[in-house]
Amino acid sequence: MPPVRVIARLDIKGENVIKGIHLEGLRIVGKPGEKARMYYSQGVDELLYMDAVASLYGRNNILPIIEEAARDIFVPMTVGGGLRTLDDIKAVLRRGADKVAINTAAVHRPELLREAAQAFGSQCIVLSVDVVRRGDNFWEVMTDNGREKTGRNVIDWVREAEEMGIGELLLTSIDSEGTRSGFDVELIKQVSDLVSVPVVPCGGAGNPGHVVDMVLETRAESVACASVFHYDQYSIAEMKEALSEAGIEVRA
Amino acid sequence: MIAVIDYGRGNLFSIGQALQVLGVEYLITDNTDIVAKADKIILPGVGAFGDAMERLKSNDMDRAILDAAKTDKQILGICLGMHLLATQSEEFGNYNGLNLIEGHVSRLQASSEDTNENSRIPNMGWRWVKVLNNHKYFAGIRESPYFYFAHSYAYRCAHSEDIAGVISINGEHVPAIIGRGNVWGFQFHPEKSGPIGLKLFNRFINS
Repeated sequence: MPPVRVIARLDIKGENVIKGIHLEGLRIVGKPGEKARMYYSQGVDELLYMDAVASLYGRNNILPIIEEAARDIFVPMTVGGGLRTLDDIKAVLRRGADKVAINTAAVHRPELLREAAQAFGSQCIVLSVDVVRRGDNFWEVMTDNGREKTGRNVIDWVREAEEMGIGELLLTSIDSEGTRSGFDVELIKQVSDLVSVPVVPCGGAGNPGHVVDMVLETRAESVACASVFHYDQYSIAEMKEALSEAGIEVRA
Repeated sequence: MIAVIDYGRGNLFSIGQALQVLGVEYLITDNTDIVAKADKIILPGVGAFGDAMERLKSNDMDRAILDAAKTDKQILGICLGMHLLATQSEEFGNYNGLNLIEGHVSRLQASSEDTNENSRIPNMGWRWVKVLNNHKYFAGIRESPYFYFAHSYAYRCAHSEDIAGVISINGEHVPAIIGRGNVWGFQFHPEKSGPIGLKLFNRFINS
């Protein structure tokens, strides 16, 4: 197994990093530039920026934030939220993003994933999936940052999306998101078994132990966390130390 | 001056920022005259092989790179830019490359029964690079040689002496650094590999 990537997720609203619970009740937790530089200095492996309101208002105001980060942060950056067209994707990549995360627009028109993969390469097209558990083996795919139901089961959707040529899958459990009470391990296992591209589990980490348990149970090669880092409970370095002590390889 | 070749795809901004931080003069360009005047050439790359070669050929940039390779100017290909140095690629069809370092590009092996390894493809993330070459470029890199990779295809070198560093994926040694004379290639992204990436990048562009 490759070293587990520890990814810090920054949900952006306007000029701030925000954080909610179940993607709702958003609170300001800091400035994107300060958070990103701190995580970089602590050894973060990757940054994930999500524009929390872009698809609601139909705009992308995250570009200046990305460009600023790309000036002195030299780890990969994934950007998502409201990306709808190849031009939207190109604009983000031109400002310093390495990958784009697409959710709502892909659900509405899956072919966008194929077109994007052909134009920019699979390795920079991330499918972002937000789900709510509805029953045994049924996690409903939600769009528009968790506001809209689709009626689709994640199990069908990720298979279809993989055929479109995605390079990675960001999997957020809305049930666990922001709760700091642990991951939906069952969800992560099921989706990881269904696709062969890397899966990035997100949602639920309240302490390094949650991440260690999740990685050991699911063999995930990465994890995206927000609250656990944003509220200065644990540093990136502490998270990596815990993983390392559990025998899980991380980038030193 | 360093010419960073722009063929309309991918993230050139980060390479530019890295060069700026390292204090070198650079131009991101699709102009063959500038490439001809440059002291060094960086061939970046994100996207697909066939499309990229097509774009290079459309304004004779392939010719400009080949001309530069005949001089002692250093040429550095990064990720897909490294793949373009190959003889041939089978990414979405068969395409001829620049043939500066003999080899062919083909898909990464999906899994290995021998090692029971099942790394996911694309190979996405930080990998430990085993440096095989004693070149001064790599001094001090061996202590923590984690670099960031994002690729589904690998360079199979025709001559093993061209391989300067490898990673191991699904039981296979995949070239991470290749070099022949003044032409070099990185499979990883030095501009996305933190302080160690910048250190190695600096060796190449400031020497």
